[in-house]
Parts: sequence; structure tokens; C-alpha cells
Amino acid sequence: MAAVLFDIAAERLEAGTEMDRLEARGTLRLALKEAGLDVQNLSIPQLQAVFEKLMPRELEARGVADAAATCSAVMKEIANAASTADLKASNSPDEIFKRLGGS
Amino acid sequence: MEENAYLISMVAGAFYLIVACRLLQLSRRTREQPELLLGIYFAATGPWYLFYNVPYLFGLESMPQLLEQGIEWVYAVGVIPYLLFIRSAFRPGTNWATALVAIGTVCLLVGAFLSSTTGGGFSNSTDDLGYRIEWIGYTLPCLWMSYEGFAAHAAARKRFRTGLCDAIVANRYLLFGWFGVCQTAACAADLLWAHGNSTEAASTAIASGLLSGTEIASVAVLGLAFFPPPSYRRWIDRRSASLSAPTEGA
Repeated sequence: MAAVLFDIAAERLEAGTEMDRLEARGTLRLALKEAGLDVQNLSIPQLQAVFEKLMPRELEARGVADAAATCSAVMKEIANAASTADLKASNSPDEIFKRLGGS
Repeated sequence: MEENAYLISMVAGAFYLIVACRLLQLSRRTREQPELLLGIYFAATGPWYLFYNVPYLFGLESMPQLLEQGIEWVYAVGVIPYLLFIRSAFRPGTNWATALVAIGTVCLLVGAFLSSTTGGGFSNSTDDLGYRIEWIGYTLPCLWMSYEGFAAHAAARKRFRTGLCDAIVANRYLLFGWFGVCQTAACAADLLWAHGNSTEAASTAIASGLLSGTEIASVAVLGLAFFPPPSYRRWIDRRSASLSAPTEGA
């Protein structure tokens, strides 16, 4: 399901910018890698943080005008899509290891 | 020297049982699989450390064969949930991880079977094929855990800088990585011990010391992972704050 979330985000990014499919997916993958995130274990809060903190810089570096506004628009679309598709990573390694220590 | 090793093993066994109780209680509450699998692993392997050494420590005749075989089999089968835990926590639905679980399971079961059917009891000698196969089954999850723990820690440090991972969780990955290293070293010590048994070399004394050291280290890292004292949590927070500071301005 997390991989589907990545696909949705990449599609929205492609539609909201002038990037082609490969560029949009590659840019998103680079940002996720920089954030230490795995496409297979992606959750909406994680994606939100990436679009807030890392993607504006990545998009600016690729000449996307008004990168911050583009990121927030993409995030809104992802949130809408996610609310209908019930996309979430319920048992990510972070959640498991948080529970193990009782924190 | 060897008596100390037996005593340390028993303390480690008691500690693993406490961890098992904690994890099994947690799994009853959460109904999640990872804590259940890890709880079963510690519940199955803890008694081995606790009871296997009793006859040696108190200078008794060897343990009744049926009891010895039972404990050895519970230990061998008990490592399988550990393999499943690593897969479910780090590589769910990954084919190569499933293959590793299958390889480990086959080594444990076939090795235990061969080892238990030669010479009237479980063999602890490198001359025995069953022992060697079983040893691979024990060592595989330890090596795998250390790799996954360190890899997850490296990624969690990046997530921490983006505010996506708690510092204590990132540190817990590191501790599990070290637990894997300690257990791998314990497996190496066991191999050295078994080699000493088969060649009557003096390596058993070295193995005994190494085994004690690795068990103490294992209990220490698991203690910090499962029961982190407030002072340790504060130290992690302070250390993490200093690590994240330079990137905030970037």
C-alpha cells in the first residue's frame, strides 16, 4: 500500500509541474532517500514531512516556479486521495521498535 | 573460569525470560505479530541458558537425556520466530527475506535432527555434520539482525533530522544491531568451544571467556533497548539535539 502512496504522489507531482513521469518519480525518490525513507514503508505523515521540508528545495533546484505552493497543492491532493483509499503503513519498523521499548 | 561462564549464561537466560514476558504481554495488548514472534523467541531460548547449565554448575551428573533433548529442540525451534521477526519488521513481503527464513529454518531443523540422532544425544562437536548445519541456522539470524539493525539505524538518523523518527527509536535500531553482533560473537565462541571438544584443544577456555563477555554485552544492550533508564533517554536526547543542530540551518 505504501508503494501505491508513492505512485499517487509521483503522479500528482507530474501533473502539478512540467516534469515528465521519470523526472517526477526520480525527484521524489531522491527526496525520500535523503529523508531515510523506504518506498515500501511510506506513510502519509512521512510523505507530508518530505513535501514540507525537502521537496521545495528539490523542485527549486529543478527550476520549478513557486515550489512551496506546488508542494502544498500536491500534498492536498494526496491527502484527498488517501482519505478515500485508506492508505497507511500500519506496521512500519519505526512503529514496531517504538512499541518494543514501551515508548 | 567455566563456572563463571555457566553462571553468566543462567543470568542471561533469566533476563531473556523477563524480556519474553514483557513482549508477550505487549502482544496480547496490541495483537501485533512482531512482538509475539520476538517474545516466543526469548521465551524458547531463555530456558536453555537457564537450565542447560545447571548440572555443570552444581557438579551434578549430566541432565536426563530426554530433558536435554527437549531443551535443545525447544531452542532450535525457538530460533525460527526470530527469523520471522526480522523478516516481518524489516522486509515484509520480500522474496529474498522469505528465502533466508526458509534456509535458516531448514538448517535448524535438519541440523537439530542429525545432531540429536548421532551418538545418543545432541552433539557439541565440529566433527558432527548435524552440529555444523545447526550452527549455520543459529548464526544466520544473528548476522541478519546485525545488518538490519545498523542499516535501519543509518536510515533512522536521516529521518530524525527531518523530524520523522524519535531519537530513542533510532538508537533502539543501533542496540538491536549490536545485539546481533554480540550473538554472532557468541556463535563464534560456541564454534570455538565445539572445536575444543573435538580436538581437545585449550580453546575451550578462550571460548568460555568469549561466551561470557558476549552474554554480558547482549544483556546490556537489550536492557537499554527494552528498559531504557531515564538517564539514558536524556543522554540520547542531548546527543541527538547536538547531532541535528548543524543541519537545521542548512
